[in-house]
Amino acid sequence: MAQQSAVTVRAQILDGRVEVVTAALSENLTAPGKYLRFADLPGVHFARMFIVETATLQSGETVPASLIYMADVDSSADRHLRDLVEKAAPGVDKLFGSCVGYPERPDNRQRITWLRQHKLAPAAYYVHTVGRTVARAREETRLYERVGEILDSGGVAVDGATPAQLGRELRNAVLRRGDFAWIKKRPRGAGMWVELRNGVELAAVAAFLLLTAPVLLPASAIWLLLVRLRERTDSQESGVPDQAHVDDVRRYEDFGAQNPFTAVGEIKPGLVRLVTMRVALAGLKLACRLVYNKDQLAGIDSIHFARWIPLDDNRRLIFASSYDGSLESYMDDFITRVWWGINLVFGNGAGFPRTRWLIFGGARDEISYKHYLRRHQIPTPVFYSAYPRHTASNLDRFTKVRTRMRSDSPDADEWLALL
Amino acid sequence: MAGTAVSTHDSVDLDDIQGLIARSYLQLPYASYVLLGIEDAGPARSVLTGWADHVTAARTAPADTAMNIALTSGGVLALTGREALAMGFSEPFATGMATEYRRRLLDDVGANDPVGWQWGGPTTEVVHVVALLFAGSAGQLVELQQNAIASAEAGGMRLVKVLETSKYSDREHFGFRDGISQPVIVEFASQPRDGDVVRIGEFVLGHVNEYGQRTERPLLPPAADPQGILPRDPDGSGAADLGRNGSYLVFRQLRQDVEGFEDYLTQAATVGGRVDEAARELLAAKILGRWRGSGAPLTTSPDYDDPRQADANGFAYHELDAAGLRCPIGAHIRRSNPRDSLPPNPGTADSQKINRLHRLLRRGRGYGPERTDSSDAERGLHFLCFNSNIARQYEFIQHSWLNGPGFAGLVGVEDALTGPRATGACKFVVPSVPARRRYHGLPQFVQVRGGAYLFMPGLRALRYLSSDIANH
Repeated sequence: MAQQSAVTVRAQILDGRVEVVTAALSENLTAPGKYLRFADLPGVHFARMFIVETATLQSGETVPASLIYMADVDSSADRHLRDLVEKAAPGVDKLFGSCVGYPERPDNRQRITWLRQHKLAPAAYYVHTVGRTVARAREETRLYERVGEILDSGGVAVDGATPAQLGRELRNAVLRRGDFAWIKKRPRGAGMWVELRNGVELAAVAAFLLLTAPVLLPASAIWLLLVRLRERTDSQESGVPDQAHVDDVRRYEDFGAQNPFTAVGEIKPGLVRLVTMRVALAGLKLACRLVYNKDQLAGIDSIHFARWIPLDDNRRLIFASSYDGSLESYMDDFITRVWWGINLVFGNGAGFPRTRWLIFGGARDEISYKHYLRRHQIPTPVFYSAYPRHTASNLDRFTKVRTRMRSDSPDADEWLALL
Repeated sequence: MAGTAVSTHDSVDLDDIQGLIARSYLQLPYASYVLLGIEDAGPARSVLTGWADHVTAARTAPADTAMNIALTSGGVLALTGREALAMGFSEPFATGMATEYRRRLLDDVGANDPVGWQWGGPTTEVVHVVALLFAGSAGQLVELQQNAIASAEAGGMRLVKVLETSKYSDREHFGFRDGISQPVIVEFASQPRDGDVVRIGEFVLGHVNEYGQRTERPLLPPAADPQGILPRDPDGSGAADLGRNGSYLVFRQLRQDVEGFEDYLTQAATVGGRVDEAARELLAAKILGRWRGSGAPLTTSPDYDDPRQADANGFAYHELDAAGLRCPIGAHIRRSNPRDSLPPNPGTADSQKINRLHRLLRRGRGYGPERTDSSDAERGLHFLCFNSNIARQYEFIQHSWLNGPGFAGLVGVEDALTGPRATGACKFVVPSVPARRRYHGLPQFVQVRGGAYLFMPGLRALRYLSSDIANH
């Protein structure tokens, strides 16, 4: 399996136990890995745990608080949950023990069964580089650092050398150490079958759109008018987010190269908005699989993983991502680069800055949009990164060096420039 | 480029905007910053009301002296007694520079920790008001300063500290020419200029910014200003516009280790016991992005210091130097103003448009003995800059560009000149053919000694904040 998967487990927290769980999660700030040591589990890129507080929906219905676990892993979700239980059963008990229906004095089989019963599947999942495993990212980082050390040490002649000569020297110097023999091999990506399937699927989607265009286009136009009618009266939130909430969220931000972004919101009432969002998410899911599967999401290269998960019978949507840099730069990236995509999906969220014709307005209203995001953010006390010092574009750079060092090529200047 | 100016109905009142926002007062080479705390709000309001009549506005360049006034959020609270008023400003200003979170965001840790600051930190006296004084002669400055302190002390205020500056020079202590690149604001330019035009709303509140929107600012219900002291919201909401014509002033006192910097250059340029002077000067230029001699940018003068290029500022990076072979990707001026090199479409107008969202109007001055002076007294820069969105402008540049270890694809390196060295000595990468040269062990050259987020109100807003009405 060379594709990453999004693991999500959600469980309702027992009445009166929210504070106990909050306290346990927040211990992660001072004692990271006290309950769950993600570094000991195979193939975990990122992981997080947080609480979705109890909420009263527009319908008047109350949704109780729940605990959510998320991970981006190199194995299947089921396999990961088994690894988790086998390596960290006491931590799993400690954290999920306050949830409804968690077995008393469970054995591993019961734990695994319970976790699998509480799994959620994302409606869409973005992976920065499909197929780049944690192990591969680490190997490529080590290679990059090794080449840099050789250059710094003066172990190869730099002055007066042509790029081709220097490239060969460096490559030989790296290969002299047996533990880098793997650079001669082609990196394992998503796999040939996945690429083939993607190609077929892309062709099928294109054919479908072409064939159905005579029906689809007028139908979309009518649909757009329906949406437009609602947009004019949609209510939007205003004002500054509560400072105590902002402080709660920020307590867990800006520690390493990446930050977690976790937010939840209600979907606007009515079938039109629900269908619009499901269609947008379905389109996004396809786009992430077929188009945005290598190094960028619609021009943004700072997101490692992102997932969109409908909750509570499609009445709420949770969005979670792991991104490089600060929230401010993340939000500006969205406003300047993919405002249309943000509006298409999140414009269906209740209180979102008002959109026009689905894609205009909305996130382009800088301050309203930034306040909206902050307001809907969820404090994320547990956040783990397998590579907290390196940005996604750093990892891309290491991969490029690796793939270009594979053979003794005369075009060494390309990868030498990346060192 | 003048086409980016705001529409004419959105007129700019140069009599309401304070002068330092519009110009640097270079013809007034003597300056000091007087930090004050408010002890008794009533008398302090009278003093500030009196000062408001003497504050220099943006309309004309002052001939002899100039005075500008800025407040911290604590100052707004102390003056008006109204917490809601202070919290109505944008969050960074309202909560301040030295919070737990901002220490992390701005990398104010280790030697930069606010706990060790000389002012503005958690252990020093609270600063409420800063009077920024400028004069054409040393004598005039002394008089201006004495008068200001005397009237402040007689009027419910306490002197916290006077921050002196060196006589103005366009050369900062490391020997570089400073302030060459500044955004051009059409409304402030005495004659139409080409180039680096940025909308006034990026620096002055209540005006249209680069997102085409009016900046976030405190708007009060009309009843809060029955006498109509404040301008009204130009969008017609009827609200009294407390922010309009004001600007956020970011103030950081930065100590510069001149000897440390020179020593590092010497050590790095020493081969076999001999210092290669040309290599030494080239390294200094690579670290900054301009030559120390004339200020010529490496992008247009890559091989030698060409004085004809001294003021060159119209250059872009992508076409001439995408890989940083002339001006390193990590050079200080490239990190703090990447011009057209931002992704996803470097070299395009789109890229420059994104860059315009992150600009600052710099107004700083140096302090301490000249660099040629052998005195070991502290030297540095009082870094002052104006912006209208601290999070998107100053903090973004500091966090994501200057201190961002992954800026523009760099791997684990912060700004070689100004970085905080929070994780120890830093590397500096000079791209080259056939391969980059990497310098190791750069120590910390710049240390934060104090700082505050201030608001420099429009004159009407200053009068409002100092009036009794704001107190009700």
